[in-house]
Amino acid sequence: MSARTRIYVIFAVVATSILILVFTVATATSGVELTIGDLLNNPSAYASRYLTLEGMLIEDSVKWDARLIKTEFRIVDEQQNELRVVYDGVKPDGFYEGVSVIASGRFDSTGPVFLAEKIQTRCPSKYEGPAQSSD
Amino acid sequence: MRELAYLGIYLSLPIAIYALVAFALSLRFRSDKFLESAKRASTVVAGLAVLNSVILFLLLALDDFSVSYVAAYSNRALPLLYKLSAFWAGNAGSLLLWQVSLAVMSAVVVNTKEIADRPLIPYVGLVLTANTLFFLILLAIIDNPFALNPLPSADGRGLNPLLQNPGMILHPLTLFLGYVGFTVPYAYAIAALFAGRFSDSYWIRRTRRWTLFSWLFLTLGILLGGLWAYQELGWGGIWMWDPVENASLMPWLVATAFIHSVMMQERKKMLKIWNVALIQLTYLLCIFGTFLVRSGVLTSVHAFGDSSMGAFFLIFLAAGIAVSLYALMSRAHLLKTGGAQFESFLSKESSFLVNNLLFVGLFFATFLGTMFPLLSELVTGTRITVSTPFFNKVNGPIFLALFIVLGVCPLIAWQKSSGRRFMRNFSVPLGATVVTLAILFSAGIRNPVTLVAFPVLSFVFVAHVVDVARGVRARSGMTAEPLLIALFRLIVRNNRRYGGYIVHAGVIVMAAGIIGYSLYTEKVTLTMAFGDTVELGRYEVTYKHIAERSVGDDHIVYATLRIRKDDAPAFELQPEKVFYGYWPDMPTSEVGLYSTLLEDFYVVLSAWDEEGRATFEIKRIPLVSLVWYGGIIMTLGAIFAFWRGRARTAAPAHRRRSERETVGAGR
Repeated sequence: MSARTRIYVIFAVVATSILILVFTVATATSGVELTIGDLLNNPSAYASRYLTLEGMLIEDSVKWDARLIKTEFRIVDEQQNELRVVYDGVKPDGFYEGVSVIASGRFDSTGPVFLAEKIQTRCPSKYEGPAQSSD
Repeated sequence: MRELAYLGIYLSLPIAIYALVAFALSLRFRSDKFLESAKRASTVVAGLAVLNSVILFLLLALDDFSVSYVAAYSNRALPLLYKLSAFWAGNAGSLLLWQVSLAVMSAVVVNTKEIADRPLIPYVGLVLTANTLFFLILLAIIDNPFALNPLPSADGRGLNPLLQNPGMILHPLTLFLGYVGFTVPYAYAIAALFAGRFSDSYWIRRTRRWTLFSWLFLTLGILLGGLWAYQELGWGGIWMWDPVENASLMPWLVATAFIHSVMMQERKKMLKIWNVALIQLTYLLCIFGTFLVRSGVLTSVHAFGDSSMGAFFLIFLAAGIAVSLYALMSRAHLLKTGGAQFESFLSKESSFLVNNLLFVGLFFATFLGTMFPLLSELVTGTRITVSTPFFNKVNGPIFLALFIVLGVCPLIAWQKSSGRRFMRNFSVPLGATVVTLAILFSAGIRNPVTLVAFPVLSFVFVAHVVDVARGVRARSGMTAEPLLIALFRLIVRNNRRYGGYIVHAGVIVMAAGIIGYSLYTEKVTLTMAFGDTVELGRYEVTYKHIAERSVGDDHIVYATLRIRKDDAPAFELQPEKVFYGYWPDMPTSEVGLYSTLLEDFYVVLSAWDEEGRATFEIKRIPLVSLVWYGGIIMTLGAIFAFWRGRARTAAPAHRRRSERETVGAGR
C-alpha cells in the first residue's frame, strides 16, 4: 500500500469510527421532547422514555418538603394542559408565577405524575438572561 | 441625544450600501477612485457606529429611561459598571455591539497601508461591508436600541441579578470580539480565492494575528461563561452542553483546527483546501451560533426567542454558505497546485491531518447532538433530545484521541519517521505514562477514565518537555550558550511555537481539572437544625445560625456554617439568598465557596423555615480550580504567541570551534 493510500485509509477509519460512535450513543441516550398535551393524549407511547417537557409554573401549586428534600408543583402548557411534577431536589430560585419550567424525567401514568430528574427554569420574555438549572 | 443615535442607525444604512456598491464598482471598473470612496464610506459607517455606542453608554450612565432599552435593562440603584455593561444585556444592544465591532474592524482592515493587499481589498471590503449592512438592517428594522419608551417611567426594570457578576460584564464582550474577529480572515480567504492569489499563503500570513486574536477572545468568552455559571447559578457545574453553550464551542473547535492546519500550508503548502474550508466553516458557525441563540428554535435555558429575527439570520446564513461554497468549488483548481505530498503515515504532516479530522469530528458530534431535536423532528416528526451523557460519551473518546495526537506530534519528524527513531523519541514520555499509571493504581484509583486520561495527560506534558529540551540542547550546542540562556532565547525567538506549547500546557491543566470535577464531585443535600453536623468526605460541616440583613432595598438571608477538614483550622462559609428590591420575583443565591488548588468546598442555602431549620446543598468539587488556572495559562500562551517578538535572524549564530573552546574554558 502506498503512503497515499494509507492516508486515505486512516481518514476513512477515523471518520467511520466517529460516525459509529455518534449514532450508537445517540440511540442509547436519547430522550423525547414534547408538549404536555402530546403526553397526556398518548401516555402509553412514552411510558418508559426519558422525556423533556416545558410548561408555565403555577406558583400556588408549589409544595416543598424540607425533610424529604422533595419539590412538587404543577405546570401548564399553552393549550391549558396541566401536569403534576415531582422532583427529588431543592426548589430552584427561579420559581415564580409564569416562569417557564423545563422538566426532564419520566412519566408515571398511575399518578398521573411526572418524575423529574432535572429541572431548569428560564425567563419567558426575550433576552432576559440565563436562568438556573438544578440537576 | 437619543434622537441623534436613532437617526444614526438609519443614516448608516445608505452609507453602508454605498460602500458595498463602491467596492463592487471598483472591481468592475478597476477604479482606484471608487475604492478610495468605498474606504471613506466604511470609515464614516465606523465613526457613526462608535458615536452611537458612546451615546448608548451615556444614556445608560445618565439613567435616561425615556429610552426603552435603558428602562428594560437598567435602574437607578444599579452600580455604574453594571449600568454600562447593560449595553449588551439585551438583544438590541448586543446587535449594536456586534455592528460597531464589525464596522471598526472593517474600517481598519480596508484602510490598510499594505500595498500587497491592494488586489484583495475590494473583495475584503465587500464581505465585511455585507456583514455590517446585515446587522444595520437588523438594528433598523427589528430592534433599534434607541427606540422610545412608550410608557414614561421614573425608574427602569433593572438588570437581572444573575447578570450582576464581573464575569458577565466581559463574557458577551469577549465572545463577540471573537465572533466578529473571524470575519476578517474569512473575508481574506474569499478575497484570495476570487482575486486568484492563492498559489501562496499570503492571506494566511496576513491574517494570522487576526485569527489568533479572535481565537483568544473566543476562548476567554467561553471560559468566562463557565466561570459565571459556576459562581452564579448555584449548581456547582461549569458546562451543560446546552445549545447556546455549544453554539460558542463549535466555532472554537473548527477555529482551533484552522490555527493548526495553516501551519501546514505555511511550511509545506499542504492542506490548502482544508484551510479554506475550515475558515469558512468557522465564520459560518459564528453566524449560525448567534442565530441559534436569538431564534428560539431550540429549547435552552439561555434562548431568547424572537422568530422574526431567526428568518433574517437564516437568509443571511444561506447567502454566506452559497458564496463560500461557490468560491471554494469554482477555485478549487487553484488550490490543488504545488504542495508537498504525504510521504508517510508516521509523520508530522499526517498528525496534522488527523488533528483536523478529530477536531472536525468533535464539531460534527456536537453539531449533531445540538441539532438532534430539530433534525429528528424534520425526519420523524418527533423531537428527540440528547444531553450530557451523549456528549460525554462521544466527545470524551475523541478528545482522548486528540490528546494522544497532541503528545505524538512534537516528537515525530517531518515527512517520515523510522520506527527506531520513533521509539527513541518516545521512550521518556512513554515511561512517564507508565509511572503515572502505576502511581494512580497504587493509590487505589480504579475508575477506567481516570486510569486512561491522566497517564495520557502526563504523556503529552512530558513529550512537550522533551521537545523543548531537544531544542535547548541543539541551540546550546550551536551557540555555546549556557543552558538557561539558551532556553530563554529559544523561547523568546520562537514565540509562536512556544506560545503554542504554553497554550497546550494550559489545556493539559484544564483537562485534569475537568476530569477531576466531572468524576469525583461529592454532594449531599439535607435539612439541618442549629448545631447539626454532617460529614462529607474529610470535611465536617456544622450549621451555626441563620440571620437576615438589609442593604438598601435589598434583603439578604444568610446562614453561617462552620467547616473543618481533618485537623486543619476550621473556616466559616456564609451562603446567602439575596432578594433584590427591584427584582422581587426571584432570589439569587450567593454561593459559599472555599477554594483551594486541590478542591473547592461549595455550599448553597436553598430553603429555611420559621424554626431556623435550613436546607443546604453541599458539594466537594475536586480539581475545579485547575480549570481556571488552565484557562489563564492558555490565555498567557496565546498572548505570547501573538506578540510580534524580536527580529529574528534565520538561525542562531554559530560560534567557530576555537571560540567555543575558549568560552568553554572560561566557564
